[in-house]
Amino acid sequence: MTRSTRRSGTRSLALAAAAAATLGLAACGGDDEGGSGSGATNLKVELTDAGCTPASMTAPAGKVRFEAVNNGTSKTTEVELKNSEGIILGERENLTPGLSGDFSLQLDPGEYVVYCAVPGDLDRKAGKLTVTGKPVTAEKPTDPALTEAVKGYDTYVQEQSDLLVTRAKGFAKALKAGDTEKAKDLFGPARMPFERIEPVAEAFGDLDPRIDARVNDVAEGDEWTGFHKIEQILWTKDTTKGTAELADQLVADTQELDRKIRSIDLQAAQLANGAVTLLNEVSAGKITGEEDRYSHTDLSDFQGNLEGSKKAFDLLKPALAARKEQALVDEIEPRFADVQKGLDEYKRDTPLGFALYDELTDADRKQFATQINALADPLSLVAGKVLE
Amino acid sequence: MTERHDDAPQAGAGTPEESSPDARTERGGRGMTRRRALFAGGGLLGLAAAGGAGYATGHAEASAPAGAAKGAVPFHGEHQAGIATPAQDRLAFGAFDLTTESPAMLRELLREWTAAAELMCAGRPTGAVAGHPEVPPQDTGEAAGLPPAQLTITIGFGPTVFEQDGKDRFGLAAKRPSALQPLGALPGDELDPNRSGGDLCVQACSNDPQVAFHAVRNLARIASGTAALRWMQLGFGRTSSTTRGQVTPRNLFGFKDGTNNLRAEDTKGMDRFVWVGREEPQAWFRGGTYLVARRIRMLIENWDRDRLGDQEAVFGRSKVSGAPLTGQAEFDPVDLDIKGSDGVTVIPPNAHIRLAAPAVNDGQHLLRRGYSYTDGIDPRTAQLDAGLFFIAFQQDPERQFVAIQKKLGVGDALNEYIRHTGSGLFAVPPGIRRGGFVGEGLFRS
Repeated sequence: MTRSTRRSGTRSLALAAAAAATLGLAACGGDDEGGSGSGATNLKVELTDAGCTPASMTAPAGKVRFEAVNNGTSKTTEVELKNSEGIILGERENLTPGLSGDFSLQLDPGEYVVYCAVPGDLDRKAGKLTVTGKPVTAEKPTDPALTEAVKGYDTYVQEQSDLLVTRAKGFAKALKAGDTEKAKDLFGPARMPFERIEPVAEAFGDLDPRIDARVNDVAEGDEWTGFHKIEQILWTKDTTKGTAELADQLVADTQELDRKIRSIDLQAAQLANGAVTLLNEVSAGKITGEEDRYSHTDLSDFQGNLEGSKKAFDLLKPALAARKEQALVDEIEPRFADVQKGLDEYKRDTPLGFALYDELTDADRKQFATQINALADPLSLVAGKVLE
Repeated sequence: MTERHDDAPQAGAGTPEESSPDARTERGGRGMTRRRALFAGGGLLGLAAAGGAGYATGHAEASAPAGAAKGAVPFHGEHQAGIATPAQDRLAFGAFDLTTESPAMLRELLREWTAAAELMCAGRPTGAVAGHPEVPPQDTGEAAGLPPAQLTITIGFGPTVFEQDGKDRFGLAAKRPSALQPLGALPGDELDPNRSGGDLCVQACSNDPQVAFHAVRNLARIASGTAALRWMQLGFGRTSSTTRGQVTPRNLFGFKDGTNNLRAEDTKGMDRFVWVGREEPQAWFRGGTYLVARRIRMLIENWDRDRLGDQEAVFGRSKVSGAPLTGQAEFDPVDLDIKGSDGVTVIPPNAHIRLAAPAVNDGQHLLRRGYSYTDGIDPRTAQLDAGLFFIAFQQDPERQFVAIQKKLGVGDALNEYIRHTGSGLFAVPPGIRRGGFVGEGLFRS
């Protein structure tokens, strides 16, 4: 795994629930609001014996700041804002007479419940908040070019995920058969499909660390599992002993990933951002040899990241062209080719298919780093273009 | 040329009366060394006079106080300066390896460092900038004529002073400050041994970078033969506010980080989280603190192509205003519980401000006092080698820095963009009394 695996779903390629919230900031970040620091709607509610007033409020979608004040009732001391499913989004408690309190949230259009009572009292009449307007967090969904791109990427992710399961099984088989050499041969190729779609895996909480954590990613007292734990045993101890359980776990984890990926709901901007993330993985982990520190199979992972990134970009090209962004496509395209050309120099006729990291020359390491920057910088502009 | 040197006070003129008579006698028979010369100002002046080199020492003495008065931070006090002092803009930080086995030499070094530090913090050179023409100048000279610009020099002891490879090198193990235990491996470490550790540290902060550099350079020169620089770090801009009057600076990610830092005015907080108090069985160390230094490289190129929304989610703050994502203005309270329409907290579960927040760290605070650094480019990849030279002061590193870093090292969204490449832990003894020297409690029986 790369460091990015440590983040949870909120910041990943796949659309976990929370991704919508953070992505929304990006989506509205181009205006003059200066980020997310301003532009809130203030709503005042006053606690009363019966609940609070006003009983019905409206606000435009976006940031909403609730200000609750208790001017003298002891029958109501807290205010809760819930969504239509009854989940409490924000609350202020212990608002005894004379006190006031506030909280802020970012709200999408819809109906919300404002509930004012004392703890344990569930029988009050609830107030209503109606949020109007366009969702701050959603993208424009209906561009056929984008729909097509997302569909294509969905298919790609499924394919790679299936391949990962198959290869993990083969790898596990060799480990459990005690065939150290074969296991070593299968290690890099088994990782390849994972490296192609890594940002997707990052959406699923601890699944990615379980599969791909490196030794220094693991908290004290936590168990270290996955590819790199097996890698350490294979290469530093030159044995398969002690890997059987890890092998089973790896297969189980890739299967779980495969199941979860089936229900994933991707959006176009996430494809683009995931493409950049993959290149960042290259510059942060592969070019430095940090990723596969025992086996030195980093260049194979590099190829996987590059292919995954290129795939997402290729799928977005029609949408970019439709937005008159052909110039950006023309800028990015040859830069993918430059990196691939350099990497081709390190292709070998071995089970891994690539030279080991040790063979990478100082000059080429530097060149790759420079080329990745030259590629990833314009690529990072794609998400903004497809959102337009 | 003579006029230029006139402004530089001479060591003999500036050496405080407390300069050690022992030093002179102990070293008297060993020939003229630079270090001894510091304390033997009278002798050197005598030599200069005898040699007939016409450098106007008397004139220098008269002009010294004028320069010293400008922007000087008091050197003596209950605690060492450079901790509660309003964070200056520039840093030079040196970690040293002791090259001696002799406790007497260590003691002597601390005495000499104290004397030199006091001079420099008052805006004076450590010795003659221009003495005898046949002798190299005592002070290296690049700070001559410059005011101290709030120079502070803070000195600390690494764990290896008290124990190295199971060995009590200086017979000081019984004096070891209780919480001075090696930090141990932390999640996310990518430490370079050549940028980590050290027996002694010198943190020189000033509003003039040349003054800060001059301080470490001259202390290194004085240490020659007793201690050698192990690594050194320059910081070009403060990243912390340590007093209420200072605005929160931005780090190299462009964010205000450390908004909720401890402030020196919060004396209760300082007593609770920074200064070692009565609970410390090592009486000599009460009033001290522990310095944790971490060289945190930022993967600048990767960060710069991350989308704004993600950058803000990583920190949990708005980039421009510095407000937490749950507020409007920088100092609005960080509300870790408020959820958005989707039922997920507005400050993401892995946001930096969440994981670093006292609320999720048993209420623990640190006094952060870090600096932005750059060391040019990484020669391996031609990427910028720049980031944060994190410095934090605390009462107990295990309870504070280590506990927090264990959380951050595993869960912090920022990890994707940073690498901890250097580390140091130092026990910073209490302040220096007039006539005393730093860490003298170590040598009191």
